[in-house]
Amino acid sequence: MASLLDEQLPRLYRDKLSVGLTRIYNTDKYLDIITDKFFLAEALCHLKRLGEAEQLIKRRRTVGREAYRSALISYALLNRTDKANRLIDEMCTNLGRSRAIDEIFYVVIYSGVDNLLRPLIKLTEGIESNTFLPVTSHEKPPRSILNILDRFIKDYLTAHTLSTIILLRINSPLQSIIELVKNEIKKTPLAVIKAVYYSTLILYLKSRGKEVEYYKNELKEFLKDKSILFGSPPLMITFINLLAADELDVAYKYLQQILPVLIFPSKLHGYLDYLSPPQVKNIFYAEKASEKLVELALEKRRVIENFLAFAFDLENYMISQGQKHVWKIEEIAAIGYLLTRDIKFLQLLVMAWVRQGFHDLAEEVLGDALMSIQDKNVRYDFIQILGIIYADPYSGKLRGFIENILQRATMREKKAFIDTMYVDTARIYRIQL
Amino acid sequence: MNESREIVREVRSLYKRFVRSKYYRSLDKRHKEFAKDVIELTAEFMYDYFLQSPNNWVKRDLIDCLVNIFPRKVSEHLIFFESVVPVLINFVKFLGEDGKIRRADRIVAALRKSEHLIIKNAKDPDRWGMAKTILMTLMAFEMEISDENLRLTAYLWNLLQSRLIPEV
Repeated sequence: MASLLDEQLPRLYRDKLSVGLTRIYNTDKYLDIITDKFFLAEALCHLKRLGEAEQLIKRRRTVGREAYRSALISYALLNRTDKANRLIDEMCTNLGRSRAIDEIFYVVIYSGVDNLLRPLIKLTEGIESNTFLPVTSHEKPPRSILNILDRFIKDYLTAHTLSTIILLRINSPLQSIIELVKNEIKKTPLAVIKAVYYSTLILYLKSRGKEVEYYKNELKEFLKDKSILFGSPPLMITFINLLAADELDVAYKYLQQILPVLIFPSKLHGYLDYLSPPQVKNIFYAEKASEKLVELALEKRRVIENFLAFAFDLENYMISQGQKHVWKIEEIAAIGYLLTRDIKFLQLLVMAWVRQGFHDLAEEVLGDALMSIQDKNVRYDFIQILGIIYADPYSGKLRGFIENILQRATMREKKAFIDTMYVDTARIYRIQL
Repeated sequence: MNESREIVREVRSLYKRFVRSKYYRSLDKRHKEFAKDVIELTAEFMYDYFLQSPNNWVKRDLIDCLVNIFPRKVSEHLIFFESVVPVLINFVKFLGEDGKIRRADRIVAALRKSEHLIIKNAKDPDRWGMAKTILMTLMAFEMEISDENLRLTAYLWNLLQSRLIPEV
């Protein structure tokens, strides 16, 4: 990576790369390269040199947009709640609520700081759900249906947020998170969302040697509830939590529901199509595509988007659980790759392979994939996924292979690589409190 | 057809004796679970593709079968592929001791050398055929292999392979 640092990288990217490398190698040797005070404070915080970090930023009043995450991490770890809250307001104004939620989500996962959890959940619950309702070829559903969908989307986002935080911080959980989970269980009427929470509680309690029989029985009951037809992503999260908790029998019962549920809404030809999260506007150039073709295209897009939603959760599982049951994740990732041909699944396969020592296979397949790419945007996405593979602690000798590829990358691609590596090293090398 | 049936009968009879031998007993428990399938499938493919019965298996063809045909055709969890070499090594040793196969030691050495490649190829989904992909989908999602589930997965495959969405 030294060659990348030697190049004429813009200052911001040198800083981000240095912070990422500081996290990967847990060393102070990149600190001298960092110029921005917030990025330097972030790196110092990672090395647990909190006093030096505080000195650096205590007189700083303004934060540049690029350093929002850095500043929030530093404020959170230095216990500057007042400054953190002011920064969150500023982020909501300047980045929009969705991006701000994303930033805080990563900071909570990385830092494990409890103070940011409630603002995060408050923002998540308040999100405008029409962001997720795409325009389809169907008529707008009646208000009663929209209200249920609205409820589902908000409850799902909150459940996903809390569940992911617990999965990634299972060894060092946030103090108030279980209480929050229990409150959310009372608030949601949907069994499919309760299932996410119950599986989360099973993972949490089992990792602490506690009894989970009640929750397991409830999870079996939830499978009879029609709300599981609302969508496959909550089923995948439930499966992943149960897999991590070693509750394979119940886990597989949830896994078995995923494909039928994925296909089910197409048979309705109705309101459930509105659950589709992607933006599908203007995907047809022909003015009058047949209605059947439009429906099939929308369904294909929805299924692919659902698969991609699984990818994030499968990735989190491997980051949290390492080699445990990794063959099962590998099987699902292989199917995701063959069905969608999305390189995100290739990345998951590589992560599964390096966890089993198959670095040669990973290198071979990545090399073949790179050779076959002709479109510069696909190449850009490919270099981007190399960022998380590079950050993965299991990658080992694959890092040299990636560094070779980067030597021939364009500056735009190198920036994408660095952005991904900077973001994902925070998810992978979490601070243990 | 008759010859093929003859091979199956011969392999089953050899397997029955193999199970009573020290070579089977020395196998790991998780490999024992797949021993019958590994041996029968190998014998089947070696006959179908190379017209060879167990007593005249040729080292090069056997490795070709395991490295290339197995990953493309056999729909099994990865643990199955991890069992292929340990099971066949012991089976070939058993055949060698029985005088059923020549140069057993060379075949054993070739199997040992190819173990990583067999597992590696089985892991690579680009080597799977369409039929295997559909079966593997059901297995990955722990679904029963029934007509209804096969139809569902085939529908999913067709939907996702169709070119309905213009490239963005």
